[in-house]
Amino acid sequence: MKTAVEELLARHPQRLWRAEAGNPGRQKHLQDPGHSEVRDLLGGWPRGAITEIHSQVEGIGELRLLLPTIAALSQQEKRWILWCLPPYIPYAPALAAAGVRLDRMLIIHPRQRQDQLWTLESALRSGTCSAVLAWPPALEEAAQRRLQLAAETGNSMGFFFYRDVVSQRSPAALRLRLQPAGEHTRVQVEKRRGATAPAAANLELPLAI
Amino acid sequence: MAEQWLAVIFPALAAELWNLDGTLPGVWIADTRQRVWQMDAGAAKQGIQIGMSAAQARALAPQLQVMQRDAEREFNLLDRCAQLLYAWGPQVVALQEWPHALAVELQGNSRWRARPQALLQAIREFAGERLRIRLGLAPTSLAAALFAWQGKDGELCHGPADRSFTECWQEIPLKLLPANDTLHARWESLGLYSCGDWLRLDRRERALRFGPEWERFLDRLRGIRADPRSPWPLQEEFVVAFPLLQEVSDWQGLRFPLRRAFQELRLRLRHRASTRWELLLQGRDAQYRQLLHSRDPLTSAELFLQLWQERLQRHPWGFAARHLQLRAMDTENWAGEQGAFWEQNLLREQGQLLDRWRARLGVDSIYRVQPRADHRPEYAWHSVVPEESETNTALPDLRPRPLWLLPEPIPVSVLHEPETSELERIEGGWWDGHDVSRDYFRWRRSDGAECWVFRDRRSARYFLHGYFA
Repeated sequence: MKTAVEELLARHPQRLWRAEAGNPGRQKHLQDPGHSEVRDLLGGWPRGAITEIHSQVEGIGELRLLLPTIAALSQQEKRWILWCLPPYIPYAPALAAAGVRLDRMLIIHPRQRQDQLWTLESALRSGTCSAVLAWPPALEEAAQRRLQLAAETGNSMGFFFYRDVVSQRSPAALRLRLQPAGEHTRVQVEKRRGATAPAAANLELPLAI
Repeated sequence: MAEQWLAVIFPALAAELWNLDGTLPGVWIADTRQRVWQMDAGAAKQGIQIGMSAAQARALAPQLQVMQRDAEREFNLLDRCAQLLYAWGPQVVALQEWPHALAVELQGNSRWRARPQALLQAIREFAGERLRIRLGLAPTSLAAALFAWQGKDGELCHGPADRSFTECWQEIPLKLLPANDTLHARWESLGLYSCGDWLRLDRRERALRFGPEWERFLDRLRGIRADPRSPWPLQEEFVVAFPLLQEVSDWQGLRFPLRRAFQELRLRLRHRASTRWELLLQGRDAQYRQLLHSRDPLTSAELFLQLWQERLQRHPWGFAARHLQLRAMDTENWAGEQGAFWEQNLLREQGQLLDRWRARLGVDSIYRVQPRADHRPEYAWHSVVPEESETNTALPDLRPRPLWLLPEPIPVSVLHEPETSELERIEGGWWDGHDVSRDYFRWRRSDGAECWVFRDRRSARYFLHGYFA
């Protein structure tokens, strides 16, 4: 007979989790990252959740980290991959060469803050996007929670990129900090559901897949 | 098959038009002889009666409003109703024997036979709470109108199902016929109360006593004489326009009338649908026009209102609107939504979300990128609308390209000269006047960023053009 706690854990596998490594129930909520080193570090990208990626510098591999996942999602699912407020032009030849299906990729530029939040929520909640890559404005905690719930509802993966030094409190399922480390990119796991200790690794991210 | 006509009568349209929002205690209208000609329910409650002298009515209920007829508004409302009726029948006519009466021919209409309640419901919704209507059904338009006059407000009146029309029509009271008071009094003095009583008189005598026009009227009523009438003009365009009951300056106030306009147009469109809609709002001295595009034809009122809400809350009209006009543009045949499989649902949901984004953020805010066969990096991609089908552009076997491209190259100072083997020369563009000659290479900046830089061979200057993000 299951205990009440076990029943709750079984009923809400995403919202309730045990702070222990190797929880087998979590695997099905993870998207394969495509990099073996990232897989060793994280297990995978959490589905139906927000992942925060913080870095002070652009161009140190923040997109290359996700590229195999984006390519796989664009080929496996008919849902969109939405790029919300990208700081530069997502370069089509590079994305196509990496295997991203560009007909399943949308770019959106809401101008006002209110519209930006509305767009993010509608994209995450609707279930029409497999992944939402966003460069959002600074979000207060209530907005972060709202977007986290929207991602759960729509079973979308939200990847939010921030350029800041200190991470604020956040309900995100995963928070990474990227730093350049010579020829590599250092990925530091600042927060991960189910993790007991902080982890970090220096990854070699190829320029082309 | 015998013809079947549905008559729609507005017994007090001229008066009720003035009190559609229900703010007045009651309204009545006088005729040229200064007698009460029409009144609304509020005036009837105060004891006003048709035919009462204006002085008497004023004395009885001085708080009531006495209005003049507004022929234009009356015609516009009848026109909207007629256009609505055209969705059910090939011919709609005005019954000019009464001031505000229409009839639609329903013979052979499978939609009517399958769901008669749908038409009645549409008419009742059109009339709303403030306009009284009477409905009658008969093989001739005149009989349908007289049945309607016999019935109660809002209810459909027709002859008993177990009796034929030739039996029923004879029971129609003569007092309902649109004759003047003198003739009505004469019929009554002769003991003629129903059409059946009339029929028992000798035909020649009837014509001599009451005039041949009533003989012809009764023949048309019975269906033994043709009753040719000009059809009500059918609008080629799908437009609904009406004055707003109260001035509207925000979305909450506009939502209800806009829904009403959409539903009216949807009924008229029938098997057609539109992806382009134009809304025109008019105030005292201001006008606001806004277009809405949708990916798929809009047939759901909820989605229609959702899209307009996104648009109008972003682009408010900024004045008190008094008149609304909605036009469905570029209508096309619509066979209904197809299928309900998961993928089709996904496509529909994606289409609806795209429409909402566009309505709120603007059409240009959402796009896709596609590669283009050009060596120059800034021309090797282009943006397309999300609906554009994927074109297979053969990608040349090039060195790795950056994931971020800068909108414009930025001048930079590069501290070391790259090796020749690291360079990728890109030249071309003489054919369109954007000639370039550049040597591209990777450059790790001091902060660790992996940059895509070129040296312009003409100016010998360095530019940052992208990031290997």
